[in-house]
Amino acid sequence: MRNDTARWDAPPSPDTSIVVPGLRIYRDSPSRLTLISGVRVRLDSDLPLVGWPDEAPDAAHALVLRRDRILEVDGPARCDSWDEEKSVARSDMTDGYGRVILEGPAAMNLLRQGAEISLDIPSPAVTRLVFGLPAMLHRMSSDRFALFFTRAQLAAGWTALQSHTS
Amino acid sequence: MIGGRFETGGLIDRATPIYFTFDGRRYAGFRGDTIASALLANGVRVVGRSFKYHRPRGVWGSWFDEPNAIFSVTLGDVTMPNMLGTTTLLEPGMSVRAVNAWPSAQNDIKGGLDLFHRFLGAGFYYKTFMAPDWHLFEPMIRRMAGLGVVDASLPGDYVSQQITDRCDLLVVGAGPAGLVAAEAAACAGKSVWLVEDHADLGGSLRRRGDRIEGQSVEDWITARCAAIEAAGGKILTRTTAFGAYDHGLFGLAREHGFGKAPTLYRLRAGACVLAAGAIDRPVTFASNDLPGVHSLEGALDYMGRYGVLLGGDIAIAANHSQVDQAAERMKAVGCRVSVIDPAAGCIAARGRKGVRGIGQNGRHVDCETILASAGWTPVVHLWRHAGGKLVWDDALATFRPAEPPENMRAVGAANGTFGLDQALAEGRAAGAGQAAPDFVSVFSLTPVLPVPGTKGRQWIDFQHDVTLKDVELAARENYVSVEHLKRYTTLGMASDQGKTSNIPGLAAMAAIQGKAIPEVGSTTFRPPFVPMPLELYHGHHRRQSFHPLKRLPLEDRHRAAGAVLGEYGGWLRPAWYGSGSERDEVAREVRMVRATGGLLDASPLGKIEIMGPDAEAFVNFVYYNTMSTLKPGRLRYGFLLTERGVVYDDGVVFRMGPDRFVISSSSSHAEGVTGLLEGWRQDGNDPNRIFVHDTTNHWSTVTITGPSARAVTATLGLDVDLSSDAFPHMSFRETIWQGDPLRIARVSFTGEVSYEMSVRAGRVHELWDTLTRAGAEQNVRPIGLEAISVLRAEKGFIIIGKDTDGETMPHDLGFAVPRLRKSAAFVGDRSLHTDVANDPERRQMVGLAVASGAPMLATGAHIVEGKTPRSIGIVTSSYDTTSIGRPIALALVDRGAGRHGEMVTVWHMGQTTSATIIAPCAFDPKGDRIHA
Repeated sequence: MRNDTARWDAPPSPDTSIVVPGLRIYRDSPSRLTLISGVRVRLDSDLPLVGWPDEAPDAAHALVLRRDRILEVDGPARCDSWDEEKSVARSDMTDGYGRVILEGPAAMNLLRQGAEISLDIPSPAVTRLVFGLPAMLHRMSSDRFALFFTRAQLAAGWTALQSHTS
Repeated sequence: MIGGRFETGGLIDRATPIYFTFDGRRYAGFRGDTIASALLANGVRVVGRSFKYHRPRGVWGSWFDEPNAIFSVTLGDVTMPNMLGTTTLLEPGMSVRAVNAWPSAQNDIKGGLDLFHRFLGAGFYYKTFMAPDWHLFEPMIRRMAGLGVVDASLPGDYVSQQITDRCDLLVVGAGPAGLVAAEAAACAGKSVWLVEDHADLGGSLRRRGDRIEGQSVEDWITARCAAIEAAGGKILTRTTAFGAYDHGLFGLAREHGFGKAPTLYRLRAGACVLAAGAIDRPVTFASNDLPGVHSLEGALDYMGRYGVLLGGDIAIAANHSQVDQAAERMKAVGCRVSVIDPAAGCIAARGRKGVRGIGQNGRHVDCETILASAGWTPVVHLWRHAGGKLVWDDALATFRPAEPPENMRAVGAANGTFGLDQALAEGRAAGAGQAAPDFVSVFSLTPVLPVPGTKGRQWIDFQHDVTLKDVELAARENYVSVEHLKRYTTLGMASDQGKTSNIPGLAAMAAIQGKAIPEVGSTTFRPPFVPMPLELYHGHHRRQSFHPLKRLPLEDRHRAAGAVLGEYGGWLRPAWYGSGSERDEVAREVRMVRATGGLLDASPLGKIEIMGPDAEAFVNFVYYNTMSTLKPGRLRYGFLLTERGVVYDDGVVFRMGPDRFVISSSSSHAEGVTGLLEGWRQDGNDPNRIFVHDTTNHWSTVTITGPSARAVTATLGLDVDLSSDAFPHMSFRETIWQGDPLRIARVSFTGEVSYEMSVRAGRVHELWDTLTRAGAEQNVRPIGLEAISVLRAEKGFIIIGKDTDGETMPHDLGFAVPRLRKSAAFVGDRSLHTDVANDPERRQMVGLAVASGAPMLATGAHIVEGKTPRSIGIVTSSYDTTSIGRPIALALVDRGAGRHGEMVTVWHMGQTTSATIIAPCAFDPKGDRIHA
């Protein structure tokens, strides 16, 4: 087996940030992420739904991933199960995703290097390919964006962001 | 006088001289010059050599239509090959060298090749270098072929920025029609991008206009720009729209100067107005490639933009309605101008390394410069990229846009509208979204097309040395299709992609065949419109981002423990631990597991949840094995098949409850299995009653395996009875560890007692640390994937994709019984009933044993039989393992299951050895250890 240890930089520490003019990129961790699927999941959600280019509130909210799937962010604790009463499937994904925050007036320009996005083109869902990686992207305010990568691809996502800011 | 600079005029900055060298000689130009304009201003006529005959070549055009002025340019430490001299802006200190010439373009050592031109016609290489073997000549021909050489020391910061954007309207070309179209659209409230490949705006106004709509050209352009920008429009200069793609996507490349990578804009435009203008067509006449033969429009452009005059004694070989105006402009600056109508008889240029005169019908005119134009050709490349149609216009003797592609309009010269007022009207109408106005063309000409059979060497493609005689030869040899003509003669295959040669070539072929030009057709237009550096197209995936591996939460622990990391199924995982050799460290880890135990980071194992009222039926349907009988708290090994009945993945299914399952797929297949399940969920099942969640990233898994596994696991203090009776093999428990859920399963890939523990990824460090501390006291330490590969092979456990191929079915692996016991339909069932599936000669998995003391078999070696050896199988896994005391191997062999005990020959890289076919399981075949 080839020794590839040196070919790959160690994953960045969670405390690492990137600061360039007009842009700060850092990681943070939502307290809870819950994946919920069901036919009426969007209609029945108690939390405000966030698509593109909606601004997610600071409080608990739900990202729309597809027609029948949402990701609750900082929502209530729920049991991994099939809920017969509400006809929804729930899975805890708190540790399944890493969240990266991009804030500053240059944030949108950076994102446009890696994704075909426009504030003028809405989408019900926040799922995207960003720098070639599957991701969830939404706005938190006018120049503050949250980007979710799977935990396994968080290092790749961070590297992509880093290389496009250097 | 050959070449010279006016005291005033043009867009150059005469206050800023720039010094540079060409083929070692020093010259001066000005800021705003291109390399070509500076050379012409200095009287340099020979700027390069042709590709095949090494004929001396001068500048033909003034912009992207230039086929000859191609240079290697060095500035500082950076050398860029194949820079087009007419579009590369001059910078101080540039060292410019002609490509395809040595020691200089003026005195090229290979210039003598032209003496042999009679023997070097089209198809020469194909016909001459066939015997004895093309490959004998290929290296020499390859060395001679090509133009510039890529500098291996390209700077590391030569990286293209790539930006996606969108607009309502893209206007390509900022000539008069483009400017007014952009202005009209912007003022109507549309978001407009106007792109222009020159550094300045105005297009043809720079070479033809004095005043426009009552204003000076400069004032008029300034007013248009101000209006566009005031309305929110965006103007990008030095930006080439090089390709039109599906769904309104356009590729734009913005230049940033020499040695700097251009920026790529992937622009999604709601609509496009093509105002790219037109270029001069060469006139096909004898010796029309001599230095000193230029395009008429190019000459006007050099005057207007750069203040450069291409000669004092000028012959204009053209007959269109703009010729007189051009001649007057040249006379006004003191030139002696003769106008020759090329339609009035064959013409021929005189001279050797430059023009000395021109003759027609016995009349000879001395001149130093010939300005030729057979008419104007609309620049329709983007139009064709987007799927627009062309129509042949007899009056203009060219193709012009006809049926438009979706959301694209051509205006001005790009539409074959060569009158300024008409172009402005067209542009304004297009910008405002109105219908194109009707008008009568003010442009006229007498068509000038190649005349087959006429005397002299008449060039069709300047860069690739394709002559009229080459086209005639191609026709004689029946390469009459334009695509065949192109490939046989290389016409249009040069770096200019036939911008100047296509129409003369098509016209020549049409004339030879006695057909109309539209019947001959045209070749396909493909992006990029002009050559672009490959860097422009780079994907997001480069360097470490090229095929980025998935990373383990515990990677820091593995690195700290001295793990050697490698790629396994798209993940960066520990191969082994320790600083010794791979062989020694892996053998140590294998021995350790068999003696005490090992600790494995198994986090990549898939954890795909299936939930819903139909979950049980669905899992039973997608699995080869019966899963409907699985009880909560139990797990079962099984195969996922493709519709062809081929094994796609193996894994373990956990039944969490009546309507919830977790599929633990193989590590490299978690995403693939999720996709497969999603596909079947929506195909033949009720997608509202089944949901698939891939939770692989949320959970991390640590496996402890070996005789001491139970004792080490016990140190966690779980609320689970770990005894074999209470917690048997192939069962699992859910519990709480330090306040968080923990799922513990008895499942083994090593043949030893194993406990596979999954916790949320954020807690796996504590779990790993606890187990490594407890394990160390009993010599249970981390192991890597290489040891696991050996341990599982000893047990005859397969790795999908390694021990199976694209034909392997479950019964080939010894798993025929589950199918016999299953009555419900399942994916792949039908394919298992085919003749192919039941062929008695199918390859089946076996073990191989070598004689005592013999070396291990090579993975990939063939099992062969017969006097003329024929492969009957392949070694899929092979290891030299100390726990068995001999090398072991797994193989797929024809009829393998019935051949146990048979001696076979194994062939690898010319060497043969013998092996005996045995059962795959070589360690603890009764399974006493796994159930302990």
